[in-house]
Amino acid sequence: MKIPIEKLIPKYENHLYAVAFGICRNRCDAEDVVQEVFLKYYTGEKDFESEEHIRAWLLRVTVNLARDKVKSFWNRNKVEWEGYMDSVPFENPQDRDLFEAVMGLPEKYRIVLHLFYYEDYSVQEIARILKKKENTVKSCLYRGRGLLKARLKEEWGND
Amino acid sequence: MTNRDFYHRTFSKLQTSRDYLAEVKGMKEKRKARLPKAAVAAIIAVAASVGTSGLCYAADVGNIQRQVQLWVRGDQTDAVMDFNSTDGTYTVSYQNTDGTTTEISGGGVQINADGTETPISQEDALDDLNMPEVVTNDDGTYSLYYEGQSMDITNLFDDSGYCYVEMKDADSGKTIYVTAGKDGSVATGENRYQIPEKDFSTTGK
Repeated sequence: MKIPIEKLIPKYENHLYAVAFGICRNRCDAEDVVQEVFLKYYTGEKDFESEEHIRAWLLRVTVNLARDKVKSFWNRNKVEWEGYMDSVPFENPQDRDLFEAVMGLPEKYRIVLHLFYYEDYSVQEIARILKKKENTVKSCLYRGRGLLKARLKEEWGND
Repeated sequence: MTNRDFYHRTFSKLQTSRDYLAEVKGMKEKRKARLPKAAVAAIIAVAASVGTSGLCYAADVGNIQRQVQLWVRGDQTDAVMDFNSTDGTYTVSYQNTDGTTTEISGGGVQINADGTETPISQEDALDDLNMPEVVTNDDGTYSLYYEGQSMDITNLFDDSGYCYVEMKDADSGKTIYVTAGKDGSVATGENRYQIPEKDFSTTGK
């Protein structure tokens, strides 16, 4: 099965953008990545088993392309997220604190935390998407949470 | 409020404003139209053999429907091509081994050296379809397919996202020099590798 691109884009563009931004920490790069993901979907011949399969594929390709983007020569050391933060309409200061804390984490923790807390994937599913061992994902999640707790203190719960 | 709700509330404020639909559709046409001529020359023998073996008939005004054979991930596959000579667009459909049908649309205009645009010919469209293909696999690796050949190119990319590999044209036995991008772009040359942003562009810049 394949969802028409006209329906796919409105449904997933902000999700993919959030994932890509979490890795690139740069608006333009994140948007370029999302565009490339949709182009791969649109021009590719891959047949999917279900919408869940499509969603996982979109997220995996987004993560891979965003990582490539960050590693490329022109993007090394280019970080823009602090300035971008001022343009995001956060509801309250705690949200801004969380955003800042997440963006300050190492990339491997940002990716896992985002897939867990925003995309609602389980550890097992994240391991499958990222092609990593479950224990590695668990470890990233544990350490990432610990770093957020240390930074945000009581703003970040114990659940 | 749970941590998950907190996280959702925060990151749901990240919104993109790009018109991806228009950009993606536009880029697909540009990629089809920006294949370097060297690439066409490199595989013209393949296209010619495909063309003479096909059955041609007029299906509609301006449209020609034709049976062709395409290389699909290393397998030669029977397909039906519907080509519109007025605007250079085409649709190709073929049946997969699991019984499902794949349909590919493409074509459009070719940008000439003087900047003018002309609809591509049916032979150009066949060349286009039989170009080497970069496929992103489920596990994030990349494969390059050309005719019956396939190659894992995951670890061959440079920092710019391109890799350079030699492949053989099955009919002529000649070497073709393939430049493959992680973004799916491909350019080939008969005598040397095509250099991104020098010999060809995938961004329209």
